[in-house]
Amino acid sequence: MQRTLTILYEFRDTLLYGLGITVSLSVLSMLAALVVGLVAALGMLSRRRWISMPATFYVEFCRNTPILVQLVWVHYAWPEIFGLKFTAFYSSLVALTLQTSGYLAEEYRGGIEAVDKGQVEAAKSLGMTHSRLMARIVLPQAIMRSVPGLLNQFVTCFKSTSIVSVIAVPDLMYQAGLIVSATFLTMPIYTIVAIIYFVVVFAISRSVRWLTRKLPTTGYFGAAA
Amino acid sequence: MTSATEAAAPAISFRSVSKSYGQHQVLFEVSAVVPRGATVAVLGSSGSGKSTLVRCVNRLETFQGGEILVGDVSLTPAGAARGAQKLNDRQVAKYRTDIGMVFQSFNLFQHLNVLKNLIEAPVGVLGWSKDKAIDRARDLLAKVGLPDKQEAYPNRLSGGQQQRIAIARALMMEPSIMLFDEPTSALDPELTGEVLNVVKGLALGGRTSLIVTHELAFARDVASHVMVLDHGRVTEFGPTAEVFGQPKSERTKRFFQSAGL
Repeated sequence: MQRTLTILYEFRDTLLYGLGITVSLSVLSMLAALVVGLVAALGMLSRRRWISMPATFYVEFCRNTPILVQLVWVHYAWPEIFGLKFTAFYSSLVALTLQTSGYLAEEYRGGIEAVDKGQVEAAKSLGMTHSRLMARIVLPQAIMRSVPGLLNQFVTCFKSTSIVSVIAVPDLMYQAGLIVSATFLTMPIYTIVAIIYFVVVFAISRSVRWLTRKLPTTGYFGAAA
Repeated sequence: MTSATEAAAPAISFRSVSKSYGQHQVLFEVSAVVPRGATVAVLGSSGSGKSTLVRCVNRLETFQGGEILVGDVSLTPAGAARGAQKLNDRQVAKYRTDIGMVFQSFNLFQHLNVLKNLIEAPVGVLGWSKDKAIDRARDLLAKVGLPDKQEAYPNRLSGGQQQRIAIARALMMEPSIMLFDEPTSALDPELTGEVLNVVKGLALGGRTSLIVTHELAFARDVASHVMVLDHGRVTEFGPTAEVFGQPKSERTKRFFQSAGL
């Protein structure tokens, strides 16, 4: 135990660096996915088939392929398919954004479809065009409704980042592997890493739950509280 | 306006309007000419097609046969047109700005407070200045008896209050036609009166209105014309006194009698 703590202290910068990569990957891909997912959701709901079909295909593809496959595909196949060669970090960012945006698109779509059709008719009767009523009436309500689901997807996204170590992105998991190969302390190091993931993810999901409960006390959710 | 020009330029003409949902036909060649400034009560039992007919006027519903003329706009199964010019989505939206609608379920924008519900379309669609819109909103809120509810969110208001706000919201646009789709059917009886008073006192004056309602006494009281629909067919249409005095069909007579009129 003593020895483990010493080693942990000795390698603290290595682990913290890894944690930093893990956090930046998950936050950046989440931010990108918030935008891409919304665009994809609007695309799926478009009345024009040449928009809705590719958007639906994109979302289904993202949701129905494993993150590991997406990661390897982006990193090793995209250079040949699209001529796009990324560093391991950016490949990871793209793959995580693909995966997460697929899930977020579904969250948004659920939120959009849950907005009462009566309000849409009222907006039409007041002369709003489709794009105006989406922007001013439907989306503000849909996004508010989607917030709990979106935040929960962040938890999933954070956990998914651990996969990027397979293409040598120096995230928390990869750094742990480095320490293990240097020290052969397999059990203690991986146990510590598991604990770090647990503490961070638990903190995030508890904050999500707290935030979700907190939401209904403002604005038009007032009566629901 | 003289009666001659009224006859020359009706506000709304229904010409053999037919509509089906799949196999189920809900309107059968409905024809009626609504004079400018008329207040038409559209009566009939549930499922008679009253709401559907009214919703066709502002194109919330399409139909499969016939034509509806609203001012210089012609609505047909093929779309909306002004003269030979077919209207695109944007122009249909513009067309709707002149037709206010009040719904059974109020349909206030839940994420906006009362004032914002009122000024959203005048500012965003008609391009009014915010000041002008707010002035008119305050004025209308006073007239519907809710001057102190500007900041309230819809879900804090009673059904009757929400419907009065919804009426004010439609009137913000200064439409020349108002459509009421069972404005009191979702309300408790004690709240019905306050809404009907607002309709009567504020919404009608000078406009052409179609009011789908089950309130026969109200219809007799405020309507200039009455249309009775039965299973998608017009069984009565004419000046209120005539229709209530001498209904043409036995069925309408029984319908009025059952309501104690």
